[in-house]
Amino acid sequence: MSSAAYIEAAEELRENEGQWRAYESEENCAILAGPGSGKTKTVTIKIARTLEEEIRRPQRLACITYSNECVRELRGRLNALGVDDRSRILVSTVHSFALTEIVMPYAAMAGIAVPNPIAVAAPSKSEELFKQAYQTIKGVPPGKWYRMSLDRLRRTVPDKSSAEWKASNGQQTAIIEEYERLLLDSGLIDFDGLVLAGLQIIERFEWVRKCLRSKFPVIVIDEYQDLGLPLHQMMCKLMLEAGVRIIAVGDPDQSIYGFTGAKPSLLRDLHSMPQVEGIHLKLNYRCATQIIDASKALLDDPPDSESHDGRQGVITIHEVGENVEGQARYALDELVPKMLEDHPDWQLGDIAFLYRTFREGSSIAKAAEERGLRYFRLDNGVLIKRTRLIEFLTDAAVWCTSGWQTGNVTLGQILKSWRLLRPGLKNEASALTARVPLIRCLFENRDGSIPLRKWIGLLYTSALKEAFAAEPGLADEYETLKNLYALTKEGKPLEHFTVDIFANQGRSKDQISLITLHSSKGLEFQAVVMVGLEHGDFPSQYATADDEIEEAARLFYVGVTRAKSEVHLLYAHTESALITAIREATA
Amino acid sequence: MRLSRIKIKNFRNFKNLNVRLGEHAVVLGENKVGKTNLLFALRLILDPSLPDSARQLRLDDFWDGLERPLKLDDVIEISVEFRDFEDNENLLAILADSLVKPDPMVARITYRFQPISGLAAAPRSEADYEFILFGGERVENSIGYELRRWMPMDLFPALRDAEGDLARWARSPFRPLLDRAAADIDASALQEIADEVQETTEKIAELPELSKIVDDVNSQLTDMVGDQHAIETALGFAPTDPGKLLRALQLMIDGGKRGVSEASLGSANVLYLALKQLENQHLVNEGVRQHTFLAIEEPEAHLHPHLQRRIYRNYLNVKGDAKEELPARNIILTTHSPNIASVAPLKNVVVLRHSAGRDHTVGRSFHGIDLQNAEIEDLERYIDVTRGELFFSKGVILVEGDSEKFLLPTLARLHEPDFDFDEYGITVCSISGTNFGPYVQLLGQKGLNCPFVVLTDFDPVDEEVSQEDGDPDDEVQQESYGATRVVNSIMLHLFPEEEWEDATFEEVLGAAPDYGVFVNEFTFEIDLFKNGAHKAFAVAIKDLTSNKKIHERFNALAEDPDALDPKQLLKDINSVGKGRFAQRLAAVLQKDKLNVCPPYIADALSYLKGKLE
Repeated sequence: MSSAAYIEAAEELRENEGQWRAYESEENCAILAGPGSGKTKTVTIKIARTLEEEIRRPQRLACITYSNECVRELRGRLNALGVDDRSRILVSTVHSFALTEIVMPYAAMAGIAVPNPIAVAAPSKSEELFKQAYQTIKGVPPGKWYRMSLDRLRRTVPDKSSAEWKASNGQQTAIIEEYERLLLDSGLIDFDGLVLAGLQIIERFEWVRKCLRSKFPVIVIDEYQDLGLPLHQMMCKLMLEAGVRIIAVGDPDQSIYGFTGAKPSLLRDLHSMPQVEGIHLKLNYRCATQIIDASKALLDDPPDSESHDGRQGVITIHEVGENVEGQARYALDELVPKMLEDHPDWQLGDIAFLYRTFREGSSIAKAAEERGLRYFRLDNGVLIKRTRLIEFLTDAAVWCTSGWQTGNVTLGQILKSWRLLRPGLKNEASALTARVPLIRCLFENRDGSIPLRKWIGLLYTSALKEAFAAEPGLADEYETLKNLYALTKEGKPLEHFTVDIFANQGRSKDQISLITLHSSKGLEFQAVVMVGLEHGDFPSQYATADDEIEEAARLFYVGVTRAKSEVHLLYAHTESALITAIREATA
Repeated sequence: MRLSRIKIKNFRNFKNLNVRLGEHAVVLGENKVGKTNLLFALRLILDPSLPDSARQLRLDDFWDGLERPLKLDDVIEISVEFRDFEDNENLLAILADSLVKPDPMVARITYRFQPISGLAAAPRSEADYEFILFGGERVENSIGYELRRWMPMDLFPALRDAEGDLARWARSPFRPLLDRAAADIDASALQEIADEVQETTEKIAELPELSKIVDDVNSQLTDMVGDQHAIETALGFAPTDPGKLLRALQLMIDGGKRGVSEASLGSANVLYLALKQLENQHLVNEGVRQHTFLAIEEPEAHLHPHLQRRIYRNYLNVKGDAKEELPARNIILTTHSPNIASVAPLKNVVVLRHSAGRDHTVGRSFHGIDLQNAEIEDLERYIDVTRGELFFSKGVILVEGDSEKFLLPTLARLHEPDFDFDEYGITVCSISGTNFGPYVQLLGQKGLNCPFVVLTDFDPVDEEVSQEDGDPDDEVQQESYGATRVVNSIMLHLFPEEEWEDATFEEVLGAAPDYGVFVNEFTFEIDLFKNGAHKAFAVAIKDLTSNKKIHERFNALAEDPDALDPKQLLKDINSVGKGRFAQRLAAVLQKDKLNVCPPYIADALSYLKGKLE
């Protein structure tokens, strides 16, 4: 690693008090980083410095984050700083950290009930068993939304011997326990189960904490606010009892995964612990002054963030008098052309429509199609489901497009996930043989402009076909691939997709973005159009609990703070109370 | 950290070796028993300088006893376990994923040479095999160079050229030490010295007698290869380039009078080891590696026995108080030198020997036996003074004192003309007393598992001369001290544990001969006397004392053995020295070809012979 790279990069942090404190911190620290505060830049430079100055081989640094997407992002940024030695740093999701660093090496010795060998249940299998457990306990088949509260309970009360668990709804706890039993009997574990097992092992065994402390004296956690209670408890235990140094980064105000058990208070708690240096990144490099002020009006206890340059922006509020589709039409006919006219340097890709659920997305998509506009969609109605195989294909596509040159995805990484898709290959020799055609195919097709359909076809004949035949566990994934392939047919939505666009999850500069608020985290646009901000819909009239209403406000906050220059808020007849808050603050 | 266990299955002469180790491993065994194979097995796992092509074994490497053709489930498996690493966070970082036991932590690395999986039929050729290396219980947790690099095994082979290596700069263990020091030397100071060296050198070279030589050489060279290719030579002590100056330094011995290349082979070896060790410690201090397993093959080569004992006694005894600051290295040495064997702490000894059928090698260490510290010290002292003979014996006769030791070989040969102890590899071991317990455990199944018999005296309680070693307050006070000894301190270690509680004293005593424990009727000399040696006694005593009364008493007994007064006889023998008397008696018996072997000894001999055949 060239040590100069991060030292030079660090100069950019020097003028920013919070960033510089984070860079100089030598203890546990919790960095509260608001929108556009240079969080990823700060944390990657911090990681590069820690690795260079504090971590000595054979010890390593672990960096845990929320999703594979975040992993790719961090890796790319670290590579740019010259941190590319995988023997020194582990960047992984919580699930994969729990799996490879805790459950696989220690569960058997700790006597924790997990399947041996470890096999992770496909989502469809897990759904099937959950339904079966529900039926067994309740005597009737479950309704449509039964999972959410069960998942939430499972993630927020990890300890099944605790008083809290026993005090919880008896039928719900019974269903969860039955589900976990069924899962284990089928020789499977699910993603939540991995994290829960990891937590249990860390909490109960001093020797495991000692092992982890030796392997990873420093653990960096990005997007801390999204990671939920089990991870928080793991990290506190490792920090307080094993002396692992924790560097946590995140924004409690952007905590919008309450249904997964994430809470904004976890990062705040960490931030206020006496053992932890609390740091605020206050400067917002993204949003114009008006947008920052408006966003603060949404929160009860807003951060004292400020614009770094005092840039002026635009916030407009529109009563359209029509439903979401009408709002979309209005925006596409009136707002979008005006923006492009006012800003000749903007493209469609600089503008995003943000909304709550995929249904609004479909309405907007329809309006866009009517106008012959190309769009990129990222929501639950998204055509490409995120499965293990799709993650693998995305990595492969990123490698073919840019990774082979930039290293944001490495061939080694692709081969590693390939190996995980092929548990049937029992030894290294056969694994090496099996990957040859895959490598050959990837090398021959290192070109982002190849049509996706062709690229998938080539991968299928050279490597995937054989894998599907040999691995019964990939049956679900075979269906996924068939669906994806069907979508690339003439006349289907992904007809014009190239490997490049697929690698970007479909994004390209000349397409307008349609994104759910949840999926918009971490992204930024020149302008944001938010639709469907009706009283009674946002927050939903069914959301009565304080924490639900607060989370809706944070979701709104995330949406507003995606914009650098312009925010347009649309509703039909009666504006959401959140719009009112903004109206009052910016009046 | 230390290596705590080695398991080897189906590899060369090892069918199924499983030995536990102490801080170091002193591997003892005769030639061809597989000491080098044991080291090679360790190298497969720990030696970073061994290429993977050497890790791909051959079909010949399968243990010969396996039925050919080899079957699908025949594999070679070598595994090593490590302990005492959990307080070193770097070692723990390396081994954390290979744990097999958490408290105290044990990590395991396994090498396996196996048929390529997915092979439909039985493997046919070497191409059908692959090797894997993995940590812990998980085959997929593969181990590679990274681990070997952090905790390598350095092999110092038997056929080494310590002298040559020391002399050649590129291979010298002195080089890294010098290089390291050189890095800190002030460049200008070095330049100054280099200039001085050059100046002095020039002065010498300018001496007319010498400069003529150089001219001659140069002109000869020019004649041979022409101007273009000529090499210009000059005289000098050392290169005058400051960077190379230090490389010309060499270690001197004998107060600087002689270079190391003139050292004896032995000193060169010692020096080589010392330098290696310093270098290893540096590498650990600098974080280049975390631990070293130093394997030394036949350290006795070229070393005088006294030196062997002296060096290795210190080298291996880094235990006890030094616990807090364990050096970051373990020594694994293989030897057939009794001198080194005799000074090795018992817990570090591994004995390799051929199995009963001689078709494979078994290994023994002393970790399964539960001995008190004082007992271990006794044994170590005994082993020390007897030069480790026990480790090299095929069969052992444990006796109380020197009398038996001197007489037994003779008694045996006169009893049975073919029974030569040396030929059978039998050692008579005198324990100078009656505390057989530790020896029995050392030789027993949990220890060396070496065939042995115990010969001990009956020692009637009502005789004053009897050896009174039992606890007088013992409830079971038998008619004989010997019987109590046999049961309570010998059979205790031999009799099946699960039957011990239910067995009566008499049952255990009665079973003693089945376990190789034999008791006489009185005491060794008296039993000999009564068994027809009375005349020989009189002849033997003649040359040993001028005491007329003793002569008279012995002569009288020679005529009338029934008049024996055991107390008086033993007193007389003691007065000339029991050992001395025994030696003399042996000569007398030998000369007259007199077989006076008492029945308990005859029984013991036939028992032992049965075990050895």
